[in-house]
Amino acid sequence: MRGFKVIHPGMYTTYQDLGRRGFRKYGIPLSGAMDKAALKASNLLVGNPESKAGLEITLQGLKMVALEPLVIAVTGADLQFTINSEYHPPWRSFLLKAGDVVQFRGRKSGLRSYLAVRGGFRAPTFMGSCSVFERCSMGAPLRADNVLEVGDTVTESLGEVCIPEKYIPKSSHQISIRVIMGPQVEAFTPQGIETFLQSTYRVTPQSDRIGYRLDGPRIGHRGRADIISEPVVPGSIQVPNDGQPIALMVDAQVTGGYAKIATAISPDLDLLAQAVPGDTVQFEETDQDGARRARLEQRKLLDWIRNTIPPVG
Amino acid sequence: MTWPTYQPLGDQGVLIGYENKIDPGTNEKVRLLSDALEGTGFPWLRVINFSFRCLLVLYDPDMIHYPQVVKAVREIEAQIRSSHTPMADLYEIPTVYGGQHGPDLSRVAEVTGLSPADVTDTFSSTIFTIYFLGFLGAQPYLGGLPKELHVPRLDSPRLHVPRGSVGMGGIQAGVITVDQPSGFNYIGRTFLSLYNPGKVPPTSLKAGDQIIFPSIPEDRIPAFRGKSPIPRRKGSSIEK
Repeated sequence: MRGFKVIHPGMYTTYQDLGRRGFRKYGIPLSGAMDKAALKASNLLVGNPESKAGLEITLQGLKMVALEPLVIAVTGADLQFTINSEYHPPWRSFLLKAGDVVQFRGRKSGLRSYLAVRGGFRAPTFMGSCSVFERCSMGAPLRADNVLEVGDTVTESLGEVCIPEKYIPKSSHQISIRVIMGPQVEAFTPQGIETFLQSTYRVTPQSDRIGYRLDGPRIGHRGRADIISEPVVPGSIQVPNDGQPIALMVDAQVTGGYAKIATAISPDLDLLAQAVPGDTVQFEETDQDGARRARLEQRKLLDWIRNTIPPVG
Repeated sequence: MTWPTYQPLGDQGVLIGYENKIDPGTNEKVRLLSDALEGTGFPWLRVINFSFRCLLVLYDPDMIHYPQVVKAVREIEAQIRSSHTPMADLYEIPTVYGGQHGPDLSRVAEVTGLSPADVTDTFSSTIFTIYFLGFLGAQPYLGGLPKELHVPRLDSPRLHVPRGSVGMGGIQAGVITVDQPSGFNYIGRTFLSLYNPGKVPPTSLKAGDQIIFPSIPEDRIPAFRGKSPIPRRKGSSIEK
């Protein structure tokens, strides 16, 4: 059925799910939601499987009208979400009537907001995923007058649910990203490694779904920064010859030729996805046990929703 | 150092590295390991992809821990025998050389001391091997560039190179499948479709295949536009 009609598409609004996995060997990035925990939470809040496609709303401007009664959830950044001009903080579900106008007026905190709808969006699929990735000609951002189809109406009612404050990720202008060192740690001088772990880096405007370019004290190499091209992953922190780190994100190319000093752990990539230019980043070394604890901590949010909301059907 | 090496790539990846060089033998080891791992059906195995000398395994960290992944891959690796590889598939990718479609042909001629016609003849009669598909959009990374065509990359990369461009940089040759910035020297362009996002898989080429770039005149472009690479030999049978 018809779900929404787009009045204004906003800065950059795309369908995103958890990405496409089986195609990296064909040079196709994973893509998917930048803040995966937020997308999963929005889906679970409306009773969907966590992997359904939702809307990733960047910065501001999306305005749509509901064409049918809908159950939706909004998570991630606080982009001043309004229903018929009334402001609502994110991390909760809402019941919409036909004709209700939803809008993201502009950022209060964070950068990317997620909107899921009960039944899921019916978005075009490319190689098993709805995630829009324009560089490889897979889908396009929303445009004015698009009509967004959603999965079949679910009759049983579902109340509006708010996630308790203690489970909501805290937004901050100073974020700490835990990393596992390597794989080319030997390409850097001991001072270079110390600089990386002790300094504060600023997010530059050249930051997007491909990568976050950071600016700060120069990380010194032993020799040249170039290596024979090899696989990279979202979270890889590569350092070109200028000594400024680049954290690769979900749309990054699958192979790269710069030495990588470390890799951010997966839960912390969700935090970086909410950083805006001017925010600062510090890197903190961890190990596999530390990463496991971080994943378990992040899972508490999703477990709370799973235990609270019955899944569809 | 004993090869391969095993290193964590974050909290759900293992990077396996062979000798630090670009050559067919090293790449074959990587490819054989990839094939062997694909055949295991390990439930925790999420993604495999490889490059010249490295292979990445992404695993489900809720199902298995890093040391167990390394142990499992080591066991598979130890069983690999560099058997006689079956004869590779060979594809033709007809290419228009020089002029507006090959803006760097004269530069390559100048650097190598060959005439533009010699550069085209040498390149178009070379059989290249696909080391891997990477970067974006099934882009083949090619081995086999003759020594006389080794030319440094441009000092300053072009911001926009159209898909289909064929060229070389350093010891590597390549053809690009999506528009992109690039510092390669482009001597020609193909109008075949090398990447189709609506198809699974998005390309008919794969690592280990061989390709040649025969020269066609510009007025033959319409006959090839949008077509797939042309198979010339499948396995061991020769197609006419």
